[in-house]
Amino acid sequence: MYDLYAKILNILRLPEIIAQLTWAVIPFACIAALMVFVVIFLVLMERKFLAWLTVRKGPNRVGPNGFLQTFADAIKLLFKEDIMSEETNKLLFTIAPVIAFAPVMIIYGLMPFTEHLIAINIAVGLFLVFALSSLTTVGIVLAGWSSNNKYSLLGGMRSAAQAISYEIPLVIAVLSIAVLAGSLNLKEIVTAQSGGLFSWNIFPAFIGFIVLFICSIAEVNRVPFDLPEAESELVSGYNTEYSGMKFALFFLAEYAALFIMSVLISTLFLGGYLPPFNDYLSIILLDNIIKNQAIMDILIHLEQGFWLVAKTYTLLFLIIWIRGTLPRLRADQLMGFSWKFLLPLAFINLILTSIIKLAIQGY
Amino acid sequence: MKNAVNKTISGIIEIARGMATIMKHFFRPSITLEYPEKKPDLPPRFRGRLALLTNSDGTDACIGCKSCVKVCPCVDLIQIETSKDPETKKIVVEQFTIDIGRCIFCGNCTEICPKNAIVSTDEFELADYSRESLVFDKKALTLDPEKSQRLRDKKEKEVK
Amino acid sequence: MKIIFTAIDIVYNWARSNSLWPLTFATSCCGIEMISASAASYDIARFGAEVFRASPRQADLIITAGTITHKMAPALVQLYEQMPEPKYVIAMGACCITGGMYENDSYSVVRGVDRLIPVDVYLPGCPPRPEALLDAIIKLQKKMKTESLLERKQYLEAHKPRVILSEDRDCEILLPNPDFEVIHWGVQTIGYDKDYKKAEVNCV
Repeated sequence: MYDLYAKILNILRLPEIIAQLTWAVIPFACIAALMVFVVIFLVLMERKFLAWLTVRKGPNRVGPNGFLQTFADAIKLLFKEDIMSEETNKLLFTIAPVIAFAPVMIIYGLMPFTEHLIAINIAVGLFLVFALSSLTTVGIVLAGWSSNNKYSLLGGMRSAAQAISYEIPLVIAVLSIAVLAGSLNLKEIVTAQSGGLFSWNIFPAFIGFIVLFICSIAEVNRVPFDLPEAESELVSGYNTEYSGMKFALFFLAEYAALFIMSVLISTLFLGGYLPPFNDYLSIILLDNIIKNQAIMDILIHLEQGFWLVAKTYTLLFLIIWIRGTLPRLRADQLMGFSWKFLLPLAFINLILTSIIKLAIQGY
Repeated sequence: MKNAVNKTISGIIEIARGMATIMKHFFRPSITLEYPEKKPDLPPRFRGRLALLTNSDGTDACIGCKSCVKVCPCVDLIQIETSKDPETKKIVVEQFTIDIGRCIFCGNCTEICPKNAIVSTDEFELADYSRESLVFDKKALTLDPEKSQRLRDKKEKEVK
Repeated sequence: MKIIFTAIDIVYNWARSNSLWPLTFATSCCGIEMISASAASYDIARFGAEVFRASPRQADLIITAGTITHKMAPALVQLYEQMPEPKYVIAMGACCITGGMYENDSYSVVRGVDRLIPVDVYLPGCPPRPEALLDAIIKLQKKMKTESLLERKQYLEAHKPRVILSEDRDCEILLPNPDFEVIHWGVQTIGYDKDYKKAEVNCV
């Protein structure tokens, strides 16, 4: 890819050094664009689906069938007055949304969206993803503390407690994947699942899938685990004092994290960009028709993207469905559920998958 | 242990049932009434904005007896200025004002009126940009004879 | 330059008029109508206004749904002042617009919420139907679409809060600003002193 890019710049008579410098920026520009696009679409999708689940119509006045609703919200939030009360810690108050937002953006770079569409392919990708996803909580705690508001502080503390208790079953559930794939590299984990539907990790590690799914909902503070911003108890939780663009950043971070968590679950358990058949559909259907290898490659690439998007949006729909159904948990129920229920399940899952791995490999 | 397993299974079943119920609604057509395009079907006894009726020859139905003023729970909500015609010795209603911003749409005035001169209409879209524009004077309240007849017929039907 | 500003105004007005996030604020029976306006049959979400924000920092619109008492007045003013600009107010129901049936002889009700905060749309009714609330929102959107940022500033300047909020949040100081001319039709025209006298007369 880099060679192609350098060639294009060479045709434009630009020196090599510019190509080297800008090559690193391009993935991040793409990621930022992707992230904003995904979030705008996801918010609209959630509002529409929630409306349909409650027999309503949902936003349908702005643009064709309400399609531009989120754009209107985004523009409005951009222009909204930015209020900072006198007693806040101004530096931390400003920096907190960025701390909540930046790690999510880096996780986007670590994800294998298709075989080649991966910005940072490193050996400890899985480890880094979870390290970064727990950093978001630091931003939330900082926001709660720097707002100088009791509700914000309580929301931040709850978020910290929740993150600590749910990180453990989450990581132990994911450990079984590392055992099964024998690697922490996300791309290798996906490759290890090739060979159709039944070689996906969800079959040996089904309990792990459930645990990871529940924990990731808790990790991104979604209903029914949205205690940090419980509206009926804490006004608006950690973002009570935030308005305008800073609030929009929190909003963006939350939905971007939701999307990337779904991508992660589909990567780890549902075969990522791999199809549920033995071979790619485009190979099965079009191999005899299209002889050109380059076109075939592009087709396969697109198909990989399609499978990942399909899996991710299925999971996202499931999460929205859960939001439409379940009420919020109490704080003690939340903690008890994590420590007494999910953690033992995660351990059982780890033992089971290890046994399965040994049984298959035979040593 | 056994208790915990039982609890878990029953919990899963309950959550699954709840989610299935929600999913049923997903495929139902929405029951939303598209308000600005489709006006709602108001019940026959809906009490909207008050209006004054006129007789078929265009004269006011109101005789200026001020029963509505007495019966109104908001003091001075309805204000009527009357004068005596020096020739016919009849009471002429000169000004009849209702502050819709204060009115609680109880309908007492429509019930007490001896001539059925004041009635509730179906009009409910009364929002406005200023408080003064919510004060309806006699000109704004009075309906033309045709509409008045329709409303009067409707009210008589209700009474029966 | 003017063209650019006009273009910005158009885009911005389009955006903010289509994303009115109301504050979760309901003090009495009009609140029930407000809730049912957001439920399935009326569905305020069609106008992009179903995002009821609990925190005033993120709200654009406050629907004062219900009777505002002297005790609630400082809280309402505080909530309004906590909202970021641009902010809008819909006075819903008779009690909010003028005091309604409490206007003559109540010792506790604020006669009209526009004595506390500048109101953009008055919605009479006791309580108004949910459709009437939707109608008020549409009328507010119409107003927002036609005004520029500069005009809004002038409007707010002209409609400054009409109540002096005391330091220690004592309700007794919540009297109308004497400089302010009370817009009201009918008998009661000036401050509360006269009201109290009138109330006594009524009781007798």
